[in-house]
Amino acid sequence: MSENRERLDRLAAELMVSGVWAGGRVGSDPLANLLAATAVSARDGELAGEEAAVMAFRAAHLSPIPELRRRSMLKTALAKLATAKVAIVLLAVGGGGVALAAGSGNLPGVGSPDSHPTGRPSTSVTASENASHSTAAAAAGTKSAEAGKSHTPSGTPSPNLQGLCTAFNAGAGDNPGKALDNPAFTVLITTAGGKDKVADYCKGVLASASAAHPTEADSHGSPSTHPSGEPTHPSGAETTPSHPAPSATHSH
Amino acid sequence: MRDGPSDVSAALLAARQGDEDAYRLLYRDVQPRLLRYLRVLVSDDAEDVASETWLQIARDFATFSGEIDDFRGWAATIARHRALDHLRRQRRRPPTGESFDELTDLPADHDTADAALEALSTDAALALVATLPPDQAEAILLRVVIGLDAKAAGEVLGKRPGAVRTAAYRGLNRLAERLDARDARGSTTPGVTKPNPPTLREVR
Repeated sequence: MSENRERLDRLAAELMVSGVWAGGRVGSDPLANLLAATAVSARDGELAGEEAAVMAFRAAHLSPIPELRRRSMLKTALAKLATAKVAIVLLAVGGGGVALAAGSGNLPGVGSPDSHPTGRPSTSVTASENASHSTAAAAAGTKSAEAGKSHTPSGTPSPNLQGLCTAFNAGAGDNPGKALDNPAFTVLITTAGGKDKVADYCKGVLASASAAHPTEADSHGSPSTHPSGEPTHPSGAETTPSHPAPSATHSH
Repeated sequence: MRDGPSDVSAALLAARQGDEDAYRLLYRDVQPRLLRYLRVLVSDDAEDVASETWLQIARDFATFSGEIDDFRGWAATIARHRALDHLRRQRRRPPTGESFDELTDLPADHDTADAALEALSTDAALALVATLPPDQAEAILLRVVIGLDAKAAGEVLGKRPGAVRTAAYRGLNRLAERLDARDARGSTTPGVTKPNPPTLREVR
């Protein structure tokens, strides 16, 4: 092989790029070894984003398919919710809301959390899950909608804003505005009061969470510093419809 | 990353039903591939771009249909778009020009192939691939690392399969030359390393 390497023919090249992944000729040739080294199993650190990725999946997957109908529902519900006491939602941030939701027992979809396996689209709360990771944005929207309709704010579960903030921070990179185009963050944007306020808002949420006292959310000034009561919620309304397929906007 | 295809295929099916654990398996299969591909495209920013990529994958997952190979190609396409966006934002040259001379642990002797394979780190191998012209580097990575066939790789790159095969062929020959040059280092063989390999952005 050594003598031929400088004139690797097309067939050999094709065999090499198609065969290495399956085990191929590793060990017999430096070039094959080099290619194999690019394709070894996952190494430490390469999967560091797993939790954030799964959180984003959870949030996005729980959005139902008929998105247009759902979005209008969500918007309506959020507008209603805004006229209610949003502070109550914020009070529940950090896990207290989950217990509240599960305990109230009168919210459709969460009446018997034990009976729903993780990942079922229709349920977002499972009793076995850690409270800080148990609620996702879309599901929170659903429950908020129902709570908003019946005007029972005391039963309003919180979206898992802490988890969304974690995902946001992990995925924001150097362009947080772009990350917020993800509909998974709609609830977060709305709660924060605008796309440009998410970063600061998350700072507060995560600080509250790290204080390990979820019920102290109000003592951190969160409700008063977040004008969630805006009746129009322009950012939430603007961002969600504006995500055309990536290939359409970035065709090359 | 070498799990049997059926495992990941099953995971893809389950993930589409909303199974988070299955989605984790998908992530564990695909993320290292994306990260290494992105390493060559955007260097040290690969993690950030990969995070953006996974947000978009999650967002658009419901719209995806296909088999596991299709999913890898789809994910690679998203990663590539995010990488190009990133380069446009950065407006700077990605620092991919690590010198071949730094790759001191490349295999020197076929007899020590096993030891060499162990010694040749993934990072060193990727750095060497990154010295190739971008079209060649991408063709090789999409085939070898992402695991696509020529047709699927062509779809990611917007090229015909034949063009992908040619790029991979040329890239492999160039890599082989550099390995030879490395083997011969110490003799009078002049270095073949291009000190400033063109970048993805320059070519586009």
